[in-house]
Amino acid sequence: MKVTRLLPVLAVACGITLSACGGSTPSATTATTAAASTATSATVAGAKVDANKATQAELTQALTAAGVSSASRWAREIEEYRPYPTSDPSLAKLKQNLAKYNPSADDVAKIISVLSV
Amino acid sequence: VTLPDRSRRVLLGLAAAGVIGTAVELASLRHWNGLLQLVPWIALGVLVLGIAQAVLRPRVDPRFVRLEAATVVVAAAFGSLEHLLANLDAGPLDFRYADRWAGMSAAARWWAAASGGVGPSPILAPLVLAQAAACLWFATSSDG
Repeated sequence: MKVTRLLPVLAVACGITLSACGGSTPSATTATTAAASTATSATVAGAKVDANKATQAELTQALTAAGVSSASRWAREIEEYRPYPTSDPSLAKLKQNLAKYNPSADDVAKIISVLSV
Repeated sequence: VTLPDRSRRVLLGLAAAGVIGTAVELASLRHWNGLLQLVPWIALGVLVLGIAQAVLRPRVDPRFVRLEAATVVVAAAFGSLEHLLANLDAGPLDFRYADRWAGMSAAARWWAAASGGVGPSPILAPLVLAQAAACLWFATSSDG
């Protein structure tokens, strides 16, 4: 009987929780989309590093050299979303994952410009 | 079917629906990058075990099922906290906050991370597991 009384409460809790789960992705992904188109035009000093094989230190160094803010933090993200398919030289998978963080178009362009697969 | 039995079935059905929904959501998000992201999968396994045990009520001590449910609630709370910390950590990466994140008060940062203003992780999503666990708990609460 106690359980019966709890049902309406649980039903309301279901509704609240399910509604809370939606729409969590940052909305400003247009900046990242724009970055995708400008990535190839970014001019960065230094050699490219392998997105799949470079160590976090190497990634951080390359990103720092390219002038990316929070370079070590981005290096962690690049490492986290490995592996990147070699059939995807534009690193679309990485761009998609970076977009979740709502980075500036400039930062995305710089990040992509120092990476190769 | 008596009312308590029906209630019990509804609760177990809600728990099962929560498990299936969460599994689909986690799979679509590819939520398996590293050990921490495997925690909800383990919690789902515990819930599946608990639901199966609850369905086989005569054979299993309900206290054991409730212990499993409690474990999932703890895992869900941990997930929620983990999501909050991940959002907090992501603050400087968001171009809207990058320049001013360091100068923001701790309260403002925590609020931005908790309210979905910054970071990729939904704070309340892990609590779906707690909700399913609560259903499992109450479904077995009249068993002794």
